[in-house]
Amino acid sequence: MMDLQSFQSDFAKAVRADDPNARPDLIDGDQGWRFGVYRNNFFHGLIAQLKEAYPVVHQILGDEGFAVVARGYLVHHPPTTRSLALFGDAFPAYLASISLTKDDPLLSDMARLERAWLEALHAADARPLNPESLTTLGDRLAEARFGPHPAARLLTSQISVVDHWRVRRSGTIPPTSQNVGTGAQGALVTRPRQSVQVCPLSVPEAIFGRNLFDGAPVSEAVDQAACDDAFDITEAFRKFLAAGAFSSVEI
Amino acid sequence: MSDAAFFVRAARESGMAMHTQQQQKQPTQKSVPGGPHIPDRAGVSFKADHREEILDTNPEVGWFEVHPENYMVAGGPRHAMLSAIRERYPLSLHGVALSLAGAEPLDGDHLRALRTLIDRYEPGLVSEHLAWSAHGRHYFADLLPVPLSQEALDHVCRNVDQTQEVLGRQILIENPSNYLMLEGSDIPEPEFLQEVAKRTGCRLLFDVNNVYVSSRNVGYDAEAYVDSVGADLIGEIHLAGHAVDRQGRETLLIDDHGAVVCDPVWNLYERLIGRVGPKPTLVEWDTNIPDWPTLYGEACKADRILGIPTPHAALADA
Ligand SMILES: [Fe+2]
Repeated sequence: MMDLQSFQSDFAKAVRADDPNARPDLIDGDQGWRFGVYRNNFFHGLIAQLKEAYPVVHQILGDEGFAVVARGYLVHHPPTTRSLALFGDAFPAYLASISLTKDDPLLSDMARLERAWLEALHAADARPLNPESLTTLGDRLAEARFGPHPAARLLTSQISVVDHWRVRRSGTIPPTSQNVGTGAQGALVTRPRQSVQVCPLSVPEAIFGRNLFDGAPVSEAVDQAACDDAFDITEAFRKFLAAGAFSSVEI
Repeated sequence: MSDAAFFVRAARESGMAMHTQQQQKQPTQKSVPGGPHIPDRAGVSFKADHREEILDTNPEVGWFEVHPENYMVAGGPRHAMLSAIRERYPLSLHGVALSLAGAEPLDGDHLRALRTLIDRYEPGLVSEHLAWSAHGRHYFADLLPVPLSQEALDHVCRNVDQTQEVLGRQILIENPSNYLMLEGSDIPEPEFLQEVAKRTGCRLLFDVNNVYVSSRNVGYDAEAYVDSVGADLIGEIHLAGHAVDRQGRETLLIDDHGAVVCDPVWNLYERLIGRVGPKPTLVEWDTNIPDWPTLYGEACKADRILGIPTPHAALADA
């Protein structure tokens, strides 16, 4: 008889094997079909979990396509933490790497946005910085450093990922040139209270925000963003403060 | 009125001493911090789908149970929701990921996360399974089976001891649903579980549906099982529905917690309550979540067997 360690190694390998007919050595042929219950729980349970975490990617790929991709993800990236609330962190990178999906940036960028949404949902609660606090800074604003709110996430995409996300989330409206832009777009994802918000950004606004989140003073963040004439610092601050992107400011 | 319900009501009315949690002496029981006592009546799984109905109508339900793993996040709406429930009802934390029968050491981070939740929500009961769910850094999100050997018994006892040490309180261990007959499994399951309870001071979560599913899948004698577990060791009972999977001439019952409790399970439950007296009883529902009145109706059915008066409307539905 096998010891506990060998039994479980053997069993675990068969549960998550890519081959649907994989069976542990200890399970005799007559019981093979019963063992399928465990493989089924593992794959179906976790594919359902990924679907919940990436609803728009699921919508784009469809049930079957999503199941194929998610299955591959599970074989390569089984969960390593006991809570599944944040399972699937490597899914965006996985979509950007496999031949089936890597040529469609919409998929991996949408996945990055949905991941940011999920992280924002479960991040620590904190009171967002009051927009009024900006006015008290006066001309010391240039030296100020803003601390990001724990739920705030930033990303940039070569496509108009926020437009696509909004259209897809709204239901069954197909993306058209009327409702989806063509150029690069940034996204600011926040959760100032209990609901997650997604705000579209211009690319310079996203660069500005990234620099602030990384701890740069305002003057430096503006320099980084202002290579583009279109950058408007007042509008950028309005967006970030309204979205609750910061939790502190210091000089 | 069923025999069991009659027995229970008669016992109450005559002031006959029934077993309650406070009356029992546990060999190594640590002091249980905070949490209010879970009453000897029906509770249900708390599902986000039912949140508004529950918070708007404050239904007559004894208590709620959740999987702690779903709340191991820093903040956000899940905590806000559970806090709102906890303000109104006693709560039980029913873990699925501790891997007590795992050959590898327990996951310290997970245990600490569980302790944090216990400190925050002060649950009346904390339970886990006789199963393993992790191996070699990977988590399987499922309750995997273990041969009930002497080696496994020693192992599970060590892990339960360590868990109770870190959590600073007693836990309950639940009997699993079985799908396989495992070589080397030579200790009968109820004997195995009772031995764990005796050695570690934990108590048992008796899942009646799991006993029934196991009886159909691997040939357990369900009635003998129900009759064999010491009343004092049972701290909680689970009821749930299951799915029937037919493959050719073979049939397997799948413990999916996705349907109403079946009649044979209600009968086993009455038999158990008739013998051990009222115990906190949870109606579990995890897949194909029904509307609130359906789940509530199941709780009322359990309450009737426990001798608890239930609202007239719910009785008519049930
Ligand atoms: Fe159960």
